[in-house]
Amino acid sequence: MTKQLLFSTSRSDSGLVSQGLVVLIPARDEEATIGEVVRAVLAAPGRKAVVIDDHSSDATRRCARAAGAIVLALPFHAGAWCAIQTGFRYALERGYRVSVTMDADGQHPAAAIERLVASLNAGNADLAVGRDAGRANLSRLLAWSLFRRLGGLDLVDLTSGMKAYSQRAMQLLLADDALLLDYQDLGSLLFVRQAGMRICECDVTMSPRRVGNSRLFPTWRAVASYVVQTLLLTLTRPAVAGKRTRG
Amino acid sequence: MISYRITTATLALAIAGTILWLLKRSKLHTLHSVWWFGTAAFIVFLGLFPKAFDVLGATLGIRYPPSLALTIAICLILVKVLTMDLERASQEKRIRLLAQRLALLEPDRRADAPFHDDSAPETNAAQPESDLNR
Repeated sequence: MTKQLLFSTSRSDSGLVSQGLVVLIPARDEEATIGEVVRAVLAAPGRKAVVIDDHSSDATRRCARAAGAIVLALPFHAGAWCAIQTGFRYALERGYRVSVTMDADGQHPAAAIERLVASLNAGNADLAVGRDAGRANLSRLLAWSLFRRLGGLDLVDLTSGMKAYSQRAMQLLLADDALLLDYQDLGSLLFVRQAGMRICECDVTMSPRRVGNSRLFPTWRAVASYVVQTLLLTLTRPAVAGKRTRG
Repeated sequence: MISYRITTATLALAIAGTILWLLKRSKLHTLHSVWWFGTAAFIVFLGLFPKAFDVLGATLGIRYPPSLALTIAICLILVKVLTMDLERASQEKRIRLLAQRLALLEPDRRADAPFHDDSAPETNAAQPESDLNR
């Protein structure tokens, strides 16, 4: 079966038709980098940038709009996953057949978007993960190794936020039981793998975060909360019946 | 020294009275009121007839009947806390869904324009939300 997702045209349930691909960028207090990220996304034709603002207290929304993005604003701080789900709803409503998620801090290369989507097509997959093994430090390697073993996932980069989703994967990840996920990384991988969908990986080169500290892990308490929640997730949702291809 | 039955009966009636007052003032959800009405009745029964547990304990082969009362109470509290967490999770889902749908209704999205001035009046009509039940 050959899929042609990139720049393909499809019709949503609402009858709307959209061409190209939509890039979903969850953002919270990223005024320093969001404009540059949006401009990099829009530098190539056929892309639409959608920034989902997770109730920022700075000028993130204004900067994103000024750079040319569509801005969806969450009414309260609901987390990156809730923001991404909002983006999925937008993409499905608009009839996009593929969406790409990127961090708002400038770590992910916009130039790799088409390559990531191409690997989704080539691997006949529903989820493509942009991996950068080079960014692995000791703590990341330990965490990846543990989660890989517990969750039964054989992917290299388990915490990458740069992913391409097929329409089928987006629909799956809007299911009722995916609403309570708090993080965008392992949860989506486990859900997709459990549904028997294919996951592929694509090499990308990520940059180190240039401004500020990690939004996801501002404190050690946040790190501990993430580790505990992810451990529970891997134990309660092991990705048993998986199919994997490399892109 | 007063009889222990007076103490238990007073405590039971005070707790049951508070629950019934809250029910009467509609401070509790109707569904929850069933649980609390049962709890109030149980407390009043135990308060007025504390010896009932001695009989029940002997029937169930428990040497120290008050431990039966405590065990039942802890089990009921556990059930209640568990159902409360289930309800909280359900509400959290609804709140997140609501937040997502609200974000889709924002003026920026309706305008769908590359730049939207906050000070400008919104003139575009909302587009149909077709996948709201998704």
